[in-house]
Amino acid sequence: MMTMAMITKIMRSVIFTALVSSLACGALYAQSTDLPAGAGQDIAQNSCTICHNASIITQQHLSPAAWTKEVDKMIRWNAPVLAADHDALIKYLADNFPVRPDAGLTYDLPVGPGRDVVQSACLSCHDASPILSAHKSSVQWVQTFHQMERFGTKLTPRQRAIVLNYLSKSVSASPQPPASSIEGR
Amino acid sequence: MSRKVVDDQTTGPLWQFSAARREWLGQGIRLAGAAWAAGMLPPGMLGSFSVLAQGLPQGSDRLIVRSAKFLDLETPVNLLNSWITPTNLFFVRDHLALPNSPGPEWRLNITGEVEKPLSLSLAELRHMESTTLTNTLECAGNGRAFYRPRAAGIQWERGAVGNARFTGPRLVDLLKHAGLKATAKHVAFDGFDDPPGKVPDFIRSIPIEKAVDDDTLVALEMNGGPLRLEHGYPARAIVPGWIGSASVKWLSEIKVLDHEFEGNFMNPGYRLPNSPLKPGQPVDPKDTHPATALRVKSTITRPGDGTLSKGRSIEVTGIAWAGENQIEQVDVSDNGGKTWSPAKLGSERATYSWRLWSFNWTPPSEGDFVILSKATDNKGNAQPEIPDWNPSGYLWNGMGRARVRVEA
Repeated sequence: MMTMAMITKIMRSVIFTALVSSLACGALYAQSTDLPAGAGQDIAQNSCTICHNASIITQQHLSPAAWTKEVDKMIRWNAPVLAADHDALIKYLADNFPVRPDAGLTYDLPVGPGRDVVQSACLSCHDASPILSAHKSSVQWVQTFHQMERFGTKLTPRQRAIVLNYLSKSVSASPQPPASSIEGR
Repeated sequence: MSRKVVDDQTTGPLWQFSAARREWLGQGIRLAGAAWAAGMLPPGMLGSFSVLAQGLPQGSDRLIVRSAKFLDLETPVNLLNSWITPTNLFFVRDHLALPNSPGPEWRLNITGEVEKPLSLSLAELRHMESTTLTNTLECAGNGRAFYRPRAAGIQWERGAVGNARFTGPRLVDLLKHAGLKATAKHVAFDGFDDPPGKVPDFIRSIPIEKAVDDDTLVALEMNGGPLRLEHGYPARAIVPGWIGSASVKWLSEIKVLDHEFEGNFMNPGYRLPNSPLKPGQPVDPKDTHPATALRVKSTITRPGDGTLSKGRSIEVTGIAWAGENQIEQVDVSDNGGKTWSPAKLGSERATYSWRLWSFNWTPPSEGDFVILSKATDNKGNAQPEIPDWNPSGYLWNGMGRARVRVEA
């Protein structure tokens, strides 16, 4: 049984969809802010981008729990998400904009044995820039490990050895990507 | 042997707007207009389309567009190279749709715990004694992109900060006119921007002590001209030295309260944990407090990150600020912080304003370097390498950082 309120809601949704599709098809956000294709893209378009740009979504890298929190907040704020679409929307967001420790990083870790351990042990809490600029001795790195363990980092002795080896071998040898040129005086 | 800087631009053309974009915008507005006429759009939405009609605010097309709707624009750090940030290059942080510019009917109402509520026109405010104050305004989320785990929200990097002259009556004078009751404990600012749906209204409060401080203003002007709409025309709060969101824009009501305002943008918004958390650790809302003053921080504005440099001497420049405190020193390191050398602070200064700084760096050799900058304030607070993590990614003040490859 369809009530008047439901009809209005659907009408709104149709108009929003038309509006939003025209937005998405325009040249405006074609490169940086479109929502990627995939199951749930239509839900995100209908539910989210009627009020704000896709770029607010696409710049995020969040866990499923964090996406759930955001979606539920927006629903409290009247975002039109059908109950049946709730989980699919979160899955779409979590799949397409997941936590990637080095996502979008200016300072990426160089390739080398142990990179994966460093990535999971260190980059889940901070980006790679302090590691790359530190130039620490092994003794200093051990001190840093103690400091980080107070913040909850857990490393087995074997992992520590892998990380130390990586830091001394790969990081100091890593090339820095040059961008533009300036001349000194 | 002076060679001049050729180019230190590091920001990509993310923000370039085209004729096609403007044409497309016209279409969006017509559609919005039709939907509006049919009663289908919530009122808050039309304002955002009307700003899109004009593209970016005038002269602001060099800013990084973090979001066009709602408007969130970041200044590329290489443009933060003057003591006063030109208004068109000043970052913009809007939570909601940009409201339409109000007409002559606009009033600023002073209400709540006062003896005599006031309703003032713009002309009346302009006739009051006014104060000019240079203030560094920084978004609480500036640097959020560097926190791990990532926090939800606009992924600002280093440029959601600017320094400008703000002019207008002191808030304390308005409060004196209205007559504060003994019950006055907090002062809430409400703008006339209209949230869509059930989105909470953007209202924030400050404690009465800060509200009656001589330096807290109701600003009508920015850098000598009337406030531009995106910066809060016709009137915004200026709560100097505090996070940008304290300085509420498009003021329509200043309400004196006997308690701290309890809406979304005071709680859970803009709060910090009472004690350090492990990164990613959840916090009980009871163990948090509102973010207030900005933290000590420096940023390198030149050379841009990833610069290839030829030559024996390179001028490193930057900005440094400390909220309500004063910058005492900025140090620069080219060896990961093993040794530090003091930078030269610029002569221009004001209580709540950043200092420019510069450092003539002679690379010890060819090769790859990371230049670090570290600010220290007059209370002894030093900029950390990485700040403590907090769930919403506020007040990131990690050291300034720029990678440079030096070639002969």
